Amino acid sequence: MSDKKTRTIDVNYIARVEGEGALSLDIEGDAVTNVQLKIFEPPRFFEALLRGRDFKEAPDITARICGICPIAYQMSAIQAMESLLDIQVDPQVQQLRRMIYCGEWIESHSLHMHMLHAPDFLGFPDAIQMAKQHRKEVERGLRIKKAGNSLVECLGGRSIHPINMRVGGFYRLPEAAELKALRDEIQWAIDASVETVHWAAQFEYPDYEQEYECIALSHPEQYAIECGSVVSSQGAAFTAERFEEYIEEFQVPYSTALHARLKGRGSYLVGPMARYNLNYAQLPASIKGLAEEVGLGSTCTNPFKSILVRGLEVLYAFEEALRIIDQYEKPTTDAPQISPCQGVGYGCTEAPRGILYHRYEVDDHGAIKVAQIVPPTSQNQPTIEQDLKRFIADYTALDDDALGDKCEAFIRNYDPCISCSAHFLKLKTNRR
Amino acid sequence: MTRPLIIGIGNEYRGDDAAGLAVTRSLEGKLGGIADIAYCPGNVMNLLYIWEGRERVILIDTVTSGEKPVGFLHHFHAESEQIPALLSRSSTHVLGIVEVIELARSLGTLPHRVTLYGIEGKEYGIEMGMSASMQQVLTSVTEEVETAIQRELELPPS
Repeated sequence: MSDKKTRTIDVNYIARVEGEGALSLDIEGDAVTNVQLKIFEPPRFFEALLRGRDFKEAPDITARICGICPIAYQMSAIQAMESLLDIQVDPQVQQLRRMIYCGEWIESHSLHMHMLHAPDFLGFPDAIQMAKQHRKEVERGLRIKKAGNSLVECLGGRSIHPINMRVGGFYRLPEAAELKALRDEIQWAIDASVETVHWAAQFEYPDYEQEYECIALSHPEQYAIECGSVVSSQGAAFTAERFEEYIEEFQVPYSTALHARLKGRGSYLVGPMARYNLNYAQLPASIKGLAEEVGLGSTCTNPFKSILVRGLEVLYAFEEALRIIDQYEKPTTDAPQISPCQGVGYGCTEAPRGILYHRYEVDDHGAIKVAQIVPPTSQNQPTIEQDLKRFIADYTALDDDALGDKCEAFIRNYDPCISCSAHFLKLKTNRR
Repeated sequence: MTRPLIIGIGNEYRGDDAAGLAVTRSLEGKLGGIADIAYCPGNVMNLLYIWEGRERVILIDTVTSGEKPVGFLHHFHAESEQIPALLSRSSTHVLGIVEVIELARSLGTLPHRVTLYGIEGKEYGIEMGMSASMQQVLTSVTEEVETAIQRELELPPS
């Protein structure tokens, strides 16, 4: 703190978020005048790296953008290429894709809930200290995550950077017996996920309801994950093909990650809360019932309660996986023969942290000429900054260390993935 | 008693972070007969699952103290000593190796004996291939790790 009226707080590294970033706060008197979320992982140039590569390579190359959500990258790339080639996949293949995506949601959400987010509510500096007093809950979280790993491993060949999905289908489709072998652990995980939601419901949540323009995929028949069209809580509705007509990325000088906004409207929210608020009607009665039991209505606008929404999505993902396993009949071919064609393909799927958009221009030899990727954390950055500015206004009297801790905990509500946007946290506070 | 488990840890695409994987691969032919070999190439939290049910685990990873030359071999008995937090590099890993060991200790799931061989690294850029300095010492580091493991497992020298 430089003097009593003016201060700059730097959180030089934000812990317990995916990747690397920093935060700078300007405070004049008691007012927060500026908040900058700085993502300082080096620019990663994946879009440039894809140029000249074969269209069939895009899923496995882009999967390397993130170790937490590779399925999301694979699926958005696959969807884009299949839209370009006008490929209609076997409905069973589509269901398997949904199931492996469920596995990724489970892995990502359970990790964030138990290892990164819960310590904030229970007053522990990290999951290691929390585990000493909440061993049962941490063990349960680890086992839930392991069950998610098993889904991804079964369908993807391995749990980290799975390699089995391809444009048109899979390299190798599983036998029904391989899927059925997962049933017992999924049954356990369904009960365990209900216990986890009840556990999280006991946390003390700050009263912090916000107004958001939520954006998520929506699908007429299911809670959208691997397909659907884009909808907004303010009435916008468009397909992936029109994404760039509605949403624009823009650069800010302090971050290596692009920000995004709705043209003419500004910031918006993607991720679990946006999905829940827009697609609550698609959830089964069992999930709605549990939501009601823990005090959630059909909408959730308190970012601290996003941990409850993640818990409900984990439960939903297990239920979906079980349904898919029980209905599975192995298709006759793993994937059709495909030939390249010139054109533009668009893909948009629901990564654990929100919608992930891909666009590719491909030449008649199948080489990628242009690639564009808009990850969820990039889209959420302006909203995180605005929310934090409002939230932290009540805490400016705190010393820099305590204020820094408050900011870090607040940012974890959004589970930002800096690796993906990487495009995340050190805190700098300027007090004037 | 289960066979010892040697786990190579690292990221093939982050410069010197690949050293633990490379050293472990080189040991497969030499120690594969008396120990099981596994790899943890991504999220190190997966160690919690990989070493489940094991009594004796040997970890080979890249660490950075910033105080030792590239290739220097750090050696810790994690079951009886705390590994300096300094060695847990800031990375895109969700938890570092030190945090995962401490989490397992808190949960009471740390294997009975856990040895960490930490190879001092320096360059962690997003690129294939280790730094020239690491490549230069990799063979001697591999021999040093092999000798240390043979001594630890009370094997005759090869």
